Order: sequence, then C-alpha cells, then structure tokens
Amino acid sequence: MGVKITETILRDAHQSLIATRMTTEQMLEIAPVLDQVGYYSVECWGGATFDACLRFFNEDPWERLKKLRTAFKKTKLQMLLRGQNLVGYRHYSDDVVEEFVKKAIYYGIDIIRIFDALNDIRNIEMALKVTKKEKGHAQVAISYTVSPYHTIENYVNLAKQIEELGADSICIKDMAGLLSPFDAYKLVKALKEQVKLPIHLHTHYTTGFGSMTYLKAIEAGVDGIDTALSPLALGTSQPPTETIVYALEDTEYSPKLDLEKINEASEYFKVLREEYIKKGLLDPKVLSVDINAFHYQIPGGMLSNLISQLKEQGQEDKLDEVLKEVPEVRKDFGYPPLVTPTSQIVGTQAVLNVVAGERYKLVTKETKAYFKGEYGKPPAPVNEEVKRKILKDEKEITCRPADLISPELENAKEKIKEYIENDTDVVTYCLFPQLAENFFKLRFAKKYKVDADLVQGNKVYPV
Amino acid sequence: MTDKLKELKQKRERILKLGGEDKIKKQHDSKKLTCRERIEYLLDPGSFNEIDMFVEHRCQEFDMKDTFVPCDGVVTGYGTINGRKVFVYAQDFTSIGGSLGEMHAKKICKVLDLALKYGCPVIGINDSGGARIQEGVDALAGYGEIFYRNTMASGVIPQIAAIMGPCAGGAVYSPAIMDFIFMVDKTSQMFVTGPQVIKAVTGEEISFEELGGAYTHSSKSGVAHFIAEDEYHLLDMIKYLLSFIPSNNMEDPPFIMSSDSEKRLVPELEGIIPSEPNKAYDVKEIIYKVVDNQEFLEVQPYFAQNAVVGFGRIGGFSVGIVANQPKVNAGVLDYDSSDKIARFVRFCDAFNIPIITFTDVPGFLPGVNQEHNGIIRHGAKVLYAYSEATVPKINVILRKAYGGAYIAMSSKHIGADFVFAWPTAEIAVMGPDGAANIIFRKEIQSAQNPEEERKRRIEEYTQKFANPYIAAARGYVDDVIEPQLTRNKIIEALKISITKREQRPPKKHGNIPL
Repeated sequence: MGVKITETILRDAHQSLIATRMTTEQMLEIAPVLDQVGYYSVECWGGATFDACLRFFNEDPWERLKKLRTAFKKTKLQMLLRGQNLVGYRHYSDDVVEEFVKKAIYYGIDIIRIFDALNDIRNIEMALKVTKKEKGHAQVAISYTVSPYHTIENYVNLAKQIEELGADSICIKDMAGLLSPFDAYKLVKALKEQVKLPIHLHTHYTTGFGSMTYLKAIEAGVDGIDTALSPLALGTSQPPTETIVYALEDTEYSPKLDLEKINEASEYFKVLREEYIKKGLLDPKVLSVDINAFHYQIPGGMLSNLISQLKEQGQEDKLDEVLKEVPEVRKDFGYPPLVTPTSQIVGTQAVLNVVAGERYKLVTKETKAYFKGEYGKPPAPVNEEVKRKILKDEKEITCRPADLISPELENAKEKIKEYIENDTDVVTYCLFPQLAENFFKLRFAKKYKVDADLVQGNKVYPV
Repeated sequence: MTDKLKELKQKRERILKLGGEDKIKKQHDSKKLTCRERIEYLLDPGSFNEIDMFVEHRCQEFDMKDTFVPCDGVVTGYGTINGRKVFVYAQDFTSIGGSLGEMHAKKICKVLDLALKYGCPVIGINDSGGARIQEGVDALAGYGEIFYRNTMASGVIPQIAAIMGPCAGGAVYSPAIMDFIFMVDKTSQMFVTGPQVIKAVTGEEISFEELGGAYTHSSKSGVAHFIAEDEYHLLDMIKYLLSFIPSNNMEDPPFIMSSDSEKRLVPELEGIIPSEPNKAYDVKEIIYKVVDNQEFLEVQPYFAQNAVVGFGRIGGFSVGIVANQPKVNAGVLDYDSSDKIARFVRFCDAFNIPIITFTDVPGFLPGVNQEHNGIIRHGAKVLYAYSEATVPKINVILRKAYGGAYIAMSSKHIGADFVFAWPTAEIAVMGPDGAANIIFRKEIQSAQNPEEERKRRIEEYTQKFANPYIAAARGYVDDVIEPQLTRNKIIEALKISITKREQRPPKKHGNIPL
C-alpha cells in the first residue's frame, strides 16, 4: 500500500504563507485538475479560511464549500476543525458544534480533522460524535510538542484514548515543525505498534526538517502525510508534493499519483505565486529556515509577537530574558503545545513576568482563564503555587468547559432574523457575530440594492 | 363660532407639535433645529405666512391609512428676509423622517410655482430620509415634478438649497438643479448610493461623512457651494448671499450706497505682486482691497482652489468676481476650476450681476489625467460662459495671460466690455521661456555658447513681448493702469456699462459643452 497524500494547497499552505488570501475563483479554476491527481484527500476548508472568506473576501464560506464540492467529483474533501472552537477562537456551545459539523458534512466535507490546542479529549468529543453520526470520517489530531511530559508513552496513551472514542484515524499535528526525523520514526513506530487506526502525519517546513521527517515516518509505517504543491510549499508551509511523490516513485510507498496532472496544477500555482509575491502577500521571510523555533521551542509567529510586545513597552533589550522565561512559564502552565491560543497566552505572560520584574505579579485575563480551566485541562499538572497566586479564592472548573455554555443557536437566530437567506447563516453568525452581520448586510445590499443603514423605521428610503 | 374656533385651534396645535416631543428632542440632540425653528430663524421676525398647513397624505396602503403626518412632513410658505420677499419650504425630519410622498411633493411644487409666478427667490431646507416607499410611484412622481419645476425656475428666480440632514438617492437632484447648495459640517450628507451598497458592489469602504458629508462636497466633488459650522451659521450665510442677488432675472441686484468711497485709491495693491514672475501670491488680497469694505463672499472656497469666485460690492454695485489664484498650482485652469468658473459666470449672467475678472493665468494644466477627464470639454465651458454672458464684463489683467487661457479668461476677443492691464501684465501667445526657444531656435543652436544665447534670447523676448503694450497697441487692452487706480477704474466702467443692452440671436438655448 502506498502512502496516502493529503494535498494542503487549498487550505494550510496558503494560510501559512499568504495569510489565507487564496480566492475561491483561484481554487475553482484548477480544481478539476487536482481532482484527477489521485490524492487521498484535498484539505480545502476550515482553519482560518472560514474567517478569511468573511473578513477579506466578503464571501460566504459555505458557498465556497458548495462550489468546491461541485468541482471535486471524486477526491475526498478534508477540513481542519479546532475541536469545540470549530473554526473560531473560543469554545462554542454544543448545539453550535453539532449544527456546524452537520452542515459541513452535508455540504460536502468527507474528512474532518479535529484537534484541541491542549489535547484535551473533552474538547474534541462533541465534534467527533457528530462527525460519526453524520457518517463523516473523523480524524483526531494530536497537537505535537516537545516537553519532559510529552513522552512517547504519553502520546501512545493519548492515541489509545482517541481510538476508544471511536475516531477513524489519527493525525500527528506538528504545527511548528518541531518533530525531528528520528523522533518521528520512534513516535510513528510506537503508535503503529500499539494503535490500530491509520496514522497520518502533518508537519511544517519551518525548521527545515519536513521532508526528512516524512521519509523517516514513512519508513516507520505512517499511513498518510500532508504535502503542498511546490509553489506554495516549504517555509512555514508543508513539504512539497512533487518532491515527496518523485522520491517515492518505484518504491512500495509510492502513492501512484498522476504526475502529469501534478505538473499541470503546479504550473498553474507558479503563476499565482508570482502574483502573490508581486502583491506583497508572499513575504520571502516565511520561506527561510528557522531552527530557533526548535531551539527555543517558540514558533516563528510567536517570536515576532514577543518582539513587538516588548517594543510597545520600550523594552526590546529584554528579549533574551523573555526567551528564557517562555520555557519557565510553559512549565508552570503544564507544558501546553504552543499553538493558537496557547502561544499568545504563554508569550504575553512571559513578557509580563519580565517587564514587571516579578513572576505573575501581573496576569492577563487569558492566563487567569487558563488556570481556571476554561480552555480545558493542561497536559501536565500546572505549578500549584502559581495557580494559587493567580486564582486566589476563585474556584476552578473541573468539568468540560463547554458544559458551562448554554445553547446559542436560538438566540442568534432571533438576532439576525431579517438577514437569514441560507440554512447556514445562523451558525455562521454564532461563530463570528460581527463579521457575519457585516457580511449579511452587504449581501443584503448587493442582492436587494438596499442600504440597511438608510432604512428608517417607517418605511422611508432614498430612491 | 366659539366651537369652530376651538376646533381650528386644536387642529393647529396638533400640527405644530410636529413628530412629537421625543422626536424633537432627538433632532435637537443631533445638533439640528426643527423645520419650524429653522424658518423662524431664517425669516424676518413674524413675517412667515404658512400655506398648506392642513394638507394630509392620501395614501391608504400598508400602515399609511392610520398614520397622521403633520403638514405631510414639510412646512411651506412665504415671508421676508431683510424685507425682501422669499418663498421657503422646510422638510420635517421629526415626522416620519421628513419622507417625501405625493402630497409632500405637491406642497413643494406649489411653493415653487408661486415663487416663479411672483418672481421671488426660493429657499428649500432639505432634511429627509428619502421617499415613502408605501406611496410607491406617487412618491417617485413627486420627485419628478419637483425637478421639472426647479428646471423651469432656473435662471428666472434664485433657488437655494440648504442641506440640513440626510439628502440621498434621487432627492439630491433637486438641490443639484438649484443655484446654490449649503451644507452643515458633520450633520448633513448627500449621496446617490449609500456606503453599504457601494461596498457590496465595488468593495470600496467609506463612511457616510467621507462619502457625502459637507467637507467632501465642499472640497472634492464641488457639489456644495457653502459649508457652515452649524445651522445658525448656514442660515446667516443664506441671508448674506441673498443681499448680493436680485429677486428674479428681471430685476437688478440690490444697489447699496457704500460707505467705502468711490474715490478711494488702493496704493497697497502695488506691493502684492512679487517681482519674480514665477512667485506666488494670494489673489484674494487683491480682491479684498478692491471691494467695498473688504466684504467678499467666496463661493466654493475649498473646491478647485486655483480659481476664486464669489460675490462682493464695488462702489455699491453687486458684482461677481472671478480670479485665477496664483497661490494654488500657479492659478492654472484645470477641469474642476473650469467648471467652477463657468457655472458661476452663468449664474451672474442669468441674474444681471456684472462680472469682474482678475486674470493671472499661465495656461491650461498639462497631464494625461486632465486630457482624459476632458479638459477640452471643461475648458470650453469657460469660453462659452464668458462669450454668452451679456452682463457688463470687466477684466483686470494682473500678470500672466498666456495662450488659450488668456482668451478664456474674459478677454476682449470673447466680449469683455473693458480690459485693464497692470504694467506687470504679460499678455502673450505663450510664456517667454518657451516662445524664445521656438523663435530663436536656430540662433541658440548655432551659438558658440548656447546656454548664454538662450538666456539672452529669453531676456530679449521678455523685454519685447512680455508686457501689456503690444496688446494695448491693438486695442485688446483698453488701458494700462496704475494698480492703485484699479478700484476707481472698475467703478467707472461699471457706471458706464450698467445700462448695457446686448441682444443675442433668438434660439431655444445654446448647447454649452457639458
């Protein structure tokens, strides 16, 4: 059996390199060719693309999904889902999660990759349950990180829990490119031996390990990997599809893809790449190797955040101290994988600790929420002393965070009644109320040529 | 009888409450006066006579049959401003958003008809959210009937639009046809299509104020002629403007015996123009020193600032003043300043207001943008408007008057009555630098030292041609005058030409390049 290739150029690749600015038209034009390649799946929805559709393109993300589904006749469509956060940045109520997943599968998603920043299974449960109920393929992703707690044994335990939960496959999600080739071998090997589910691997080229890591993982028996066509590969994106496919040619691992179609698609994206560079969307900086990410365990995006935060405080000279502080804070936090939102919470706290000259003298409300358990359960035990200092008398949450959120759909429906045109509008509004409302207003304006802001209560309007 | 009087009183009281206390409070909170407060402030105390107070709409559709709209949302009538008769209408934003329906429009039309019949200026105070959609095509018809009357009245009676709130969609075209638009900074807006539809259609994002606020229309679009700080300021400006213009096209503008002596010399004028021909100065300094009591009402002061237009008095005569502004882009003519000048000249001509022009123009602005935006079409308007005007036209050439722009700026060739030139005037086919390079091209090319030769030749040409005397020798300039005599010369010219009668061949109307 060859290795399964998931093509990410329509989602993670452009999210990582050009701030999610690939347009639906640009995707649709090449979709019929991509459909002929023979990919295991094409990741094309979810993650930040939902937000970007509304925010930058004034476009309904669900319309994009419907169009992609029509264009891809035989390839499975895959999306990335942030567990209970769906494609947003906070926990949503269960009814919203259920509705979202239901509609995503109904309108064409085949495989949903579900992850949680803290690897708290409780934040994944609901989405997984609905995916299964709607007959989708539920792939649960483990956010990969490196820490004394994150041993192979602990990863295997996590994977077993996921298996018990009823997932269809498991993905190792190495969002910061921290998985080095030999560690990948060991991890995949262990998982393959102790878990029955297919194992997929997702990495980024940030540290330059990418292709080597894949090769070792393949040797260890990984079932699937994520790659991006070369015009939008490397750097903070995935290893290039072409390179991997050619390297595996004539081996037992060959994914047997249509090389001509790959070439055709690649040529298409080369032109787009030039366009993105010209427009300044693709900054060559994101393409360089950043081994510091491995060295400091700080993802590239986070480092630039730290620098700008220090600049605001006029304390740029404290960067070294902050870089040393980050691992300490992370330890106190129970070694969370550093990915949105934990990377921001940990980073900001490290800056505050250094600037204030005393640890946890100043804390953000996010840090407090984290210790309260509002994001879920940290991987390892947190520093109890720190927790007491931050929470004081306040009680922490021990239940699943979403249990505390009351249903949201009905309320939302009431609020946007006059704009509803599709069965996905309410859930869109739940996810991004402000963006959605703006979008609905504009859609209304475009469709009916009526400026809602100018309509007076008493049926008065400029004509 | 007592009962009947009581009934009348009750009915009237209900109407005078407008849209109710809450709505009136809201109006005041948004720094706006009510329609009745505006009229009261605008007109001489106690002079307002309301008509059609009891008009009601006839719409039975939707919720309209149960809706009472006092005055149907617009207060109309007549009164006086500084003792002169005017007609006025003011939309009532507190009554269903000042919306326009069939009867609302009919009231405005009646006022326009009467103003036209009696030869009185009309002042329309706009504050309306738009059409009453319930009244459908009747509301639409209302707009059309107003536009038609605005057009019929154009050039017969002065029509002044005060925008004191929203004015959007088709509603903008009534003010647009009228003679002058006044807007209040921050509280009035005009646009055809609102920001949301714009964003949905073109993707452009813009706020209401940036799209159609007073500042935008005063500086960018040129739609508004006057911007006021607040509503009182706006109404005061209307009164001031009216003092310069006649009540109709058959009358002369008001003559006011001036306390500023006719004989006043203006020696300060000699120090304003810099000796270097390429140095800028503010032409408004000249205007202020020439007019009576330094009073000058500038029209469109923030739009196309390379031209200055406005009203003043000279020796008691109301005049329209047009000037190039060397301080802004050397006073060059471009498409916007051409429009500004042409429309102003035509207003003056329509209402018997003599036109005084101060010329200092280097030419038409070069550029692809200018050409592609039709500087040909727009520049032609200046030529057309001056040529067409039959009011006294007096031109003072201050400095540069080059090429086609010289012709356009009220030159003798297109019908100026009097052209005076200051000794600093350079009336020539083009600037001396360019002309010398063409005429002496051979000499410069064959010279030992071309640079020196060029300098010498330019000097030679300047000496010979960059002056007013060649034009004066041919009678294109009536007199070369000492600047300090400018005011006297203009007054004398006005006195002699005020009886001017000039006939044009009969025609429906000319075809001004638009």
